[in-house]
Amino acid sequence: MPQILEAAGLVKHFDDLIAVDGVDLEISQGETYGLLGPNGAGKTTTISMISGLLEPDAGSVSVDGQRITTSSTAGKGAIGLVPQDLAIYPDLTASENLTFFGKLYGMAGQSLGSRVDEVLEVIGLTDRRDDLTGEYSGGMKRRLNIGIGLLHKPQLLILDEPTVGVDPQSRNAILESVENLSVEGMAVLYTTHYMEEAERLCDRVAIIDEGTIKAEGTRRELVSMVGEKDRISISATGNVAGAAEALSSLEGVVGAAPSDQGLDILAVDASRILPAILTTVTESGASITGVQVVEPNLEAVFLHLTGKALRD
Amino acid sequence: MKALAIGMSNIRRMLRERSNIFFVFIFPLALILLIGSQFGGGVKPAIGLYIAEAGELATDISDEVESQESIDTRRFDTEADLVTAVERGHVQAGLFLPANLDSTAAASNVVELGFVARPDGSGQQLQAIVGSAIADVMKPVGAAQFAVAASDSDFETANDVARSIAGQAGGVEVSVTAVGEALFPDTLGQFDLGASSQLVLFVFLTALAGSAALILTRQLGISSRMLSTPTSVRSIVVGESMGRFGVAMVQGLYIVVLTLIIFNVNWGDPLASLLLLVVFSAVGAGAGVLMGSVFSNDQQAGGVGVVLSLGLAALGGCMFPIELFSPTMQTVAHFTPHAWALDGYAELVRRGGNTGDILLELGVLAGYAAVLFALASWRLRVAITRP
Amino acid sequence: MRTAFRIAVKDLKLRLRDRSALIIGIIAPLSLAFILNLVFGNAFDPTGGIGLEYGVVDLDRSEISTSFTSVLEEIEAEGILELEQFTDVESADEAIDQGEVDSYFLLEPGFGQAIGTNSPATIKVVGDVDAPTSTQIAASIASQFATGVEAAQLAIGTTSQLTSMPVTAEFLDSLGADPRTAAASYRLDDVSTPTRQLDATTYLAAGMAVFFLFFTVGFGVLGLLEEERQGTLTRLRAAPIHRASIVGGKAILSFLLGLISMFVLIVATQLLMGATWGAPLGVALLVVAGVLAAVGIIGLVAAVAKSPEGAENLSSIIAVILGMLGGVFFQVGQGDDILSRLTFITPHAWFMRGLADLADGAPWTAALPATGAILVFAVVTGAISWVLLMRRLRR
Repeated sequence: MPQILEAAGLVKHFDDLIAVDGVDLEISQGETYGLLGPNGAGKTTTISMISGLLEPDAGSVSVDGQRITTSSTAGKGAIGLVPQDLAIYPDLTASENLTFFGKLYGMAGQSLGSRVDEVLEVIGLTDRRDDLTGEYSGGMKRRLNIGIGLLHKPQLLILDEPTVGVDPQSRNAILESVENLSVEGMAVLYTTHYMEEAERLCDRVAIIDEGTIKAEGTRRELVSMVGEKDRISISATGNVAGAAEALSSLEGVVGAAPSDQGLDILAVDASRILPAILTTVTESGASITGVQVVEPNLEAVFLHLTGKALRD
Repeated sequence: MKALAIGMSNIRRMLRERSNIFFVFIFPLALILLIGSQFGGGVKPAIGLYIAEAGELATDISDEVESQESIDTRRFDTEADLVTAVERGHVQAGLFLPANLDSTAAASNVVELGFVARPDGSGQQLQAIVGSAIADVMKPVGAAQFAVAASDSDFETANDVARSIAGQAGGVEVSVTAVGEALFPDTLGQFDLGASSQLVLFVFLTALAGSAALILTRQLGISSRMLSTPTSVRSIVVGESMGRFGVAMVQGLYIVVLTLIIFNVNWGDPLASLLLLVVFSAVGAGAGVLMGSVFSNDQQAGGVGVVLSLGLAALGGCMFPIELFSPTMQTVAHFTPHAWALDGYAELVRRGGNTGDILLELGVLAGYAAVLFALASWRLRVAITRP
Repeated sequence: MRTAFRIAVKDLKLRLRDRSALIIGIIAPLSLAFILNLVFGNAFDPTGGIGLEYGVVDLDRSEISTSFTSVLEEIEAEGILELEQFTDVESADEAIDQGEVDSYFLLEPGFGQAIGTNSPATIKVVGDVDAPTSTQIAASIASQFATGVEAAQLAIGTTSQLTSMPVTAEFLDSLGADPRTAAASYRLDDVSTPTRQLDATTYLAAGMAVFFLFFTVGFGVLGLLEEERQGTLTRLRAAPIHRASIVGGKAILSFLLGLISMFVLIVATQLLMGATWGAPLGVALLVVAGVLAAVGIIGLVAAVAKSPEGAENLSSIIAVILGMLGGVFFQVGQGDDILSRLTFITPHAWFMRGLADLADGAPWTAALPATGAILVFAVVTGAISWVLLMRRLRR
């Protein structure tokens, strides 16, 4: 499969803050590539440099062989960007928004019109095509936001956290449509801080934190990095934060972080140190309602690599 | 081409907002109508008349005042009513004719008439008009009083003689001519000058108010999204500017065409008038884009925009004729683009000038537009390429 | 009530920190009043001179023509106009061209001769095309002189006829008095008592203050729609407080913002521009009533608007229409015509009238009638908005 995106050595500083510090990415045709990391990891900054919104301090980006810079328009036609913010005109209708951005991608006339109809069909807004988007529900706006990115059939579609603040139903619809895209041969760069999304959608995932890529590979490759370690999921209430802190210094524990249910722990030889773990948790003031030793997932990989949880 | 798409989407969004329809299309016309009926020739200034006692002189004076074509006269029954009417502005001035006018005159005493006016510009002009009407009536009286003193006749005889020969002398005429090609007020319609002031005021006001649309576009991340498409920064800057310019032109042409049809306003030479509108709209558009790039809060931009557009309009002579400014203020006024635009329209409308006569005004306004657009595109470039 | 105050005070702190409210409430009206005052105040001030610059060309040089120049010089001495003498028409035309004078008076050779022989004589006023008003004033000055001359001619003619003596030099000498005194048979005294009228500066300051008041109070009640969109209104409604406290809190906030803005503007225009607002108690009554009316009217907007943007647009349309009609920029109407009556459907017009009633040291009670009228607006719109807003909150 030919390479669509090649980004090498991307660096971006904002005053003293190093937002992105030497990121390399390569994505091939038909591949869905995930950029997984917590908020503030540098995902949006990386994407802004890849889509030519932001000039990198160092490094280069090329899409479909064309160098991408903020000052040139070359190569941008190959990219479709779906920004995290809803960048649509609230006082224009869905079809007007699509037509407008279509023109900016150099589309015109009948081909533009029929493509707008197609996209409206795909994103399920044909019935509401002539309503002002300001009156849309959040999910409808999200769908249109994605639709604009798809309009000109880009070779690389970049989706920046497209499911943030979306209800579960719309979220599922969005994920399904992204799954279909790779079938059509489109390369997709998908950023998220939801581990499940990365696991479900992406052929390859890069784990990014503090501006650098900590690891990269298929899900299987990444999980294997965790090695012989076990992931212990404890359902607990009470002082889980305190428990996590106390656990980190326990021998045999690689990482511990509060999770949705209670605690996520990565440990060597879980069965041996499990009693010690449980004692530490209870002593820290948390009450345990359940314990599970599970197969490691990307969450565990992140914990393994950074010692902290994906969501905080 | 892409710039055109950006410009057109701006115009479409402007036309879609109902409050814009009001401020851009309804309000300016209503104001031109209001101001035209207020200050234009259609309604004459009114003067109130109170006559304490009927008599020959009182009748002569009131007839003469009432026959003045440039004013309307209304009679009042009591002195207090007239005073109140003047104070409230129901009439612009009041004339009081006291009792015993005839006997005072016959006794060769000075006849004292009272006049009250509002302390604004029209009061002095009314006093001049009323004063000359009264002077006409009082000429034979004065002559008779003089003759009584210089001969041994009685007042009545002298008064009869004076009245009979009044008007036989050649008299002294005051003729007014204007330097320039045309006589001024005669050719001007009621709405002519007011209309160009309002045009200039509103085109600029709307252009600045339009900065809110640009701020919103930036806030929503649409500007960034545009930049992610194969559209250059230059195209975006030109497109946003074209949008503001287009909105200004739509409004300007609307005002010109409708006032032409409804109020029969004279806009002078069509080509020159259009050129003036084009360059002034460009000035407004440049200022609007600059505001839209500098501010990131549309409420603040709105407040500052109102102050700037009304303030510059006032300074530039849209609310009060610039010719009545003090020399210093006239100089200050010509720092505003409004004053130059109004100068241009005055040349076209009052003197029937053509494009050649307003080259200076066109040039200055084009200069304003160029500077503003240069600043605006620099700021907008920074604003949309900044993360 | 206490909860309402608590809500209002919390929002007030936020608003005072917000630059938008500062711009709309204080900076905008103050700077506009300042600019307008610079333009209008200067123009209306007779001592500041409205820039009447005249020339005179006396080609006749007779006794009567020089006396005309003397008359002009007397007016110049009063500071009403500036006079420049020219020896020929060309230099006078040149001066108009250069904008040095607005117009000039031309007395052609034979002017004095014509008057002496009762033949038609002419004073020419040549004006700059671009200075019609100034030229009109010049013409009326010339007319006054002409009338005096005509009165003198008539006095001589009448005396001559009554005494059956021909008009000769000896006859004129024998008259004993100057026939031009015949023009002084009457006096038109300006008996204006300047009461119940605002000077231009105060008019503009008050006009701008009350105009922007209707925008300023929007930062309070219209905030309800913003909270509705943000969802914080739901949170407030879920809290154990009465709906009246929520609506009341916003209304009190509007009221306080309006009051603060008016107070600052009154003090600032008084100190910086020399506006004279009149008896403090009377002004205070008008301001309180005016702010209440503004809260009531903008409250109506908050009650009927669908979105925050819609409310903002609708309230600015209403503020502009009411302000313009109420005469905040210039007096509207010619007295008792329809337009003048229409202006009193706005609280703005009553506010301006109330201030005019206070002008020239009138006691505070002079403001009572206008205050009453404004309160009617406040009560009617306030009551309707209250009911509608309470109903809106129940949904």
